[in-house]
Amino acid sequence: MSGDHTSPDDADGLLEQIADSALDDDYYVVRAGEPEPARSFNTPLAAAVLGLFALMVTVTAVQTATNRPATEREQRALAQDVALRRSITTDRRDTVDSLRAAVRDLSATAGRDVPDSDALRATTAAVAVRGPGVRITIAPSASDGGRGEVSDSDLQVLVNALWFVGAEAISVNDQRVGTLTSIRTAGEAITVNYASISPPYTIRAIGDVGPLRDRFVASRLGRDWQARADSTDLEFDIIAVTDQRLRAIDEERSQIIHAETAEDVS
Amino acid sequence: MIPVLGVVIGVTIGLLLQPSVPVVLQPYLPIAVIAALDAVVGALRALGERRFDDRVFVVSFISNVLIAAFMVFLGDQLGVGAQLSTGVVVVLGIRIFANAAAIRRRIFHA
Repeated sequence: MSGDHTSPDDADGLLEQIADSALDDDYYVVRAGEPEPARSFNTPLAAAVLGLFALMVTVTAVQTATNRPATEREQRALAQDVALRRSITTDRRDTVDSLRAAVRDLSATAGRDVPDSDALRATTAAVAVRGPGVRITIAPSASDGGRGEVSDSDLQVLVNALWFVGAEAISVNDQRVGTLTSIRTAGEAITVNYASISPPYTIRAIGDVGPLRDRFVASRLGRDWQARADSTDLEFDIIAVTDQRLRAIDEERSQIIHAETAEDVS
Repeated sequence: MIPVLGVVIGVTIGLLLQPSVPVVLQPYLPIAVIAALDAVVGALRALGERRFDDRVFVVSFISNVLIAAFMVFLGDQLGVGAQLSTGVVVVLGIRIFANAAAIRRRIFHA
């Protein structure tokens, strides 16, 4: 690569060598062969090459110039797209917020639209309730023939009596008595809401404590239970409770499938 | 005056026709232009030193352009297109500056 005028050893480095041999060696070679320059710059060949060079420069410049607006257009379009999508996102967020607020408002008023819906749900045992009332504890005894044992009908009658003396919510061994509740014997055990319960039986009733207890104790059924407790080993207790909590009935025992509301029947 | 005519014709054709370079060749065009510029500046220096030869000019021009384009192409295939382009530009740039300096010296100090 080194020219006649420069030996590679003289060059300190590659870059220097490049700078030193900047002019193509061929110019010197031809020059050496032909002392007088045979061809001048003013030839068609040189003109053609220069024309080609000019064409290349022009084409490149034009190409770059025409490409730039396209790139800019693309960028602008992208930026607009981004802005558009941002505004859409903002809009949707606003929509979400307003819808959330609407849902909040509606759910706040939903319960109030149906009159006494809370009371209805409490009555149908769909929600847990709490309040004062009585707690009756019955521990049957198997040793005294039939009198000391407690049957399903005993509990049915007892629950009935409690409704009669003013109970508003009743549960038997934590099984809430609702509209679909049955109390019956299955095999050896008594079932409430199809769940087996075992003695001792605890019946909780919510209501006005005084009347509830007094009327029950004074009733024929209450006297009968007391007599059974006195004559056998059966234990029967009725105590007043200032605050007790009755849990809601299991969901499958409060679902209605076939019965529909008949609006026209009042 | 023929070379000037050639330049004018080249510029005119480029401006009038505005030929669009194929996308495949677009990366090579700037490097090719730099290589061509090197050949042109070298030719000008040779002209000043009375060594000019149009045959050498043509050969150096075409070979410069082709080799530069080929190196960029090779670099692209090897995944070092940008680095190789930089190398080509650096080397050609040094040559252009050196030749331009020689011309400048001849004009102003000779």
